[in-house]
Amino acid sequence: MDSLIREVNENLKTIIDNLKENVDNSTNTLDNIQIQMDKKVEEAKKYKIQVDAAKDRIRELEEDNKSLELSLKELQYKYGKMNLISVIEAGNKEIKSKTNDNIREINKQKEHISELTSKARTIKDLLLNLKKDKTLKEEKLENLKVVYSFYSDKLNSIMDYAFNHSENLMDYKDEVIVNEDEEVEINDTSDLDNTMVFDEIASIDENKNFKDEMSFISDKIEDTIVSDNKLFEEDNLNIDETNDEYSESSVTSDYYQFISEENDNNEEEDKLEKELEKKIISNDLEENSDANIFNSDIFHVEEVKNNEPEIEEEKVFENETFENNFLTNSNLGFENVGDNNDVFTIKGLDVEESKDTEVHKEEYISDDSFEDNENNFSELESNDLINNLENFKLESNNEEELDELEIDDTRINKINDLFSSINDTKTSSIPLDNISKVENQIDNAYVDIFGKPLEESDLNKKESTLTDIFGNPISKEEVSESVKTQKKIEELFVENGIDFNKFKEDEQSYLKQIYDEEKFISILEVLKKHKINLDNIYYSFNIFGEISSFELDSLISKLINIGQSVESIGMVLEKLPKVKKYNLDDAIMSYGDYVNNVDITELIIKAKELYDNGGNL
Amino acid sequence: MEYLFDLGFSLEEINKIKSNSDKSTITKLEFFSRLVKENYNYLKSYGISNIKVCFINHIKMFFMNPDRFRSIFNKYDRADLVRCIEKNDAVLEKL
Repeated sequence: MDSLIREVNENLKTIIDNLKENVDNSTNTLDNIQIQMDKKVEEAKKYKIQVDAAKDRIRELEEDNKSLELSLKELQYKYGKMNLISVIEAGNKEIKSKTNDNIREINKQKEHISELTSKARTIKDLLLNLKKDKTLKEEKLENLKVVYSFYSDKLNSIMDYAFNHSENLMDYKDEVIVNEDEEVEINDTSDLDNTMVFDEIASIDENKNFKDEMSFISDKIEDTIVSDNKLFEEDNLNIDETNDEYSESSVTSDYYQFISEENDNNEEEDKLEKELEKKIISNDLEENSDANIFNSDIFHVEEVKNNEPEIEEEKVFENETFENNFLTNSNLGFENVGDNNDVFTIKGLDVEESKDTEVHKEEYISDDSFEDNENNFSELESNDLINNLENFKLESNNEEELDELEIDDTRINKINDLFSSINDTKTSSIPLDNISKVENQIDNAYVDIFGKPLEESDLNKKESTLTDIFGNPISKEEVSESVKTQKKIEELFVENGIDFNKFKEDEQSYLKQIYDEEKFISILEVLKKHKINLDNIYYSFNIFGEISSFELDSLISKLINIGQSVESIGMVLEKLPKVKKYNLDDAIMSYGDYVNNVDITELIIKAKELYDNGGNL
Repeated sequence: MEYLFDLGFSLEEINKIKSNSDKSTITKLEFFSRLVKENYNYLKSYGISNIKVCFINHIKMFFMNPDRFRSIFNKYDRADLVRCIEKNDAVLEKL
C-alpha cells in the first residue's frame, strides 16, 4: 500500500510541478513581452528626439530664408535707388543660392521626418499587437495561477493524508470551508407585516385609550432600539413566565418578538422604527376623512389576521438569538425561574411595568371591534362608500338633485370623474383583489343614485371619425377591422420584440394596409435566420410590402457569402427591395476576386444602376 | 440630405459638400443616410473637434461598412488619434 501511495503521490507531484512550470513559463513570457515593449518604446522615443531635432533645424532654415529675403529687399531698395544694377544682381544671385540651399536642406529634413514617422508608426502597430498579446497572456497567467493554487492545495492535502494514513484512506473527507463572514440575511418580512397590526387595530378601534397605548408602545420600541442597556434600565419590563395572559396577547407578543429581533439585527432597527412611527403618527383617524384608509385597513386586517402567528411567551425565550444577545450583555443576567430551565426573568425588572401592559392587554381583548370584525367591517364599509363618493367630487350629495340631472355630457363627466378618481386615489395601498370590490361598491352606488347600471357606452359617447390615408372617412366596420389588424400586427411584433407604436403614423397605416400574416412572419423569419438586428425594421418597414421573403433571403445570403457583415446588411435593409438578385450577381461578378473588400454601399449602388440602366421590368 | 442638418451641418456646409462631391457621392449620401450617420456618430464620439472638416474632405470614407470603419480607428490610442486628426485631417486617408 505504501509503495502504491508513494507512486501515486509522485505522479500527482509531477502534475503539480508541470502546472508550476506552466505558470513560470507564462510569467517569463509576459516579462519578455514587457521587455520588448519597453525596447520599442525607447526606440520610438529616440525617433521622436530625432524628429524634434529635424523640426528645429527646419525652423532655423526657414527663419534664415526669411532674413535672406529681407536682406534681398533691402539690397534692391538701397542699390536700386543708386541704379547699381550689377551689385543688385550679384547680391540677388548670392542670396538666391543660399535660399535654395536652405530649401534643399529643409526638404531633406522633411523626408527624414517622414521616414522616422513611418518607422514610429510601425513601432506603434507592433506595440499595439504586443499589448493585445500581453493582455491575452495575462489572462492566461491568471487562470493558470488559479488552477495551480487550487490543484496544489487540494492535491497536497490528499497526498499528505494518504502518506500519513495509508491504512485509512477511505476515511478521508474534504474540508468544508465555513465562511465566517456569512452575511446575516434580513429577517422574514412577515415581522414587518406584524408591525402593521398596530396600525390595523388602531384603525378599527376608535378607543382613545388604546390609541394612547399604541403610542406608548411605539415609544417603548424607540427606546429599546437605542441600546440594550437602555431597554433594561428604562423600560423595566418584567417578562413573567407565570403570566399566561401574555401568551394570548398578540400585541405584546408581537412587541417582544419585535424587540428580540431588533436587538439581533441593528441595521433593521431604524428602518422599522421609522415605518412604525410613520404609520402610527400618520394614521390619525379622527382628522383624516380619507375613507380609503378604512378600506385598505379593513381588507388588509382580514388577511393579516389569518396569517398572524400565535406567538407564545415561551417562544420568545426559545429564540436563541434573543438568549445569546442578553447573555452576552455584561450588565444583564438571567435568573432561572423555578424548575423550568427554558424560562428566565431578567434582573432588575420592575413589576409595575408588567401591570401596565396587563391593563393594555385587557383593554385590547375587551375591544369588541377586534372580536366582531365582520360586523364592524360592514358598517364601516357602508359609511365609507358615502365618504368615498364625497371624495369623488360630485357636485351634489342631494339625491333629488342628482335625479334631476339628465343623462348628458355633464353627468357622464361626473361619472368619468368618479372612475378617474379611483385611479387617483392611493390604490397602491389597496391589495389588487380588493380594488374590484371597491369598484363593485361604486357600481352599486351608481345604481342607487341613477337607477340603472353604468355602461361603457355611456362613457364613450363621442363617435370617432377616422379617415384613411387619403382622407376619406372610414366607416365603423372598417375602423374595427383596422383595429383588429393593428392588434394582430402588434401581437406579432411583440412576439419578436418590436414595438408597433414606434413606427410613424403613415408607416403604421401602410403596414396595416399591406398586412398579410404569413408574409410578415416569413419576412421576420428570414431576418432572424440571418441574425439581422430586428431594430432595423423601424427604418425598413417597406420590406414587408416591397419584397418577397424568398427574394430577401436570397439577397441577404448572397451578401453574407461574399463577406458582408450582418450589421452592414441591417444598415441598408430598406434598400434591398430596390435591388434585384440578378443585378446583384452581375455587380458581384464585376469585382471579381476583390469583391470581399468592397463595401456594401458600392455593391448596392452598382446593382441599382444596373437595374436602372436595364430598364423597367 | 436633410439628415445632415440633424448631424449639425449648416446649409452653407451642406452646399459646400454638394459642390465638392460628384454625382455618385451625392447619390450615396442620399441613399445610405443611416450608414453615413452611424459612421459619422462613431467618429464624433472620439471628440474630434474638426469632425465636420473631416467629413467634408473625406466623405467617401463614411460610406464604408460600419464594422470596417470602426476597425480602422480602434486599433490606435484614442488620444493620439484625435491629436493627429485634429492636426491634419488628411491623416484619415492614411490610417
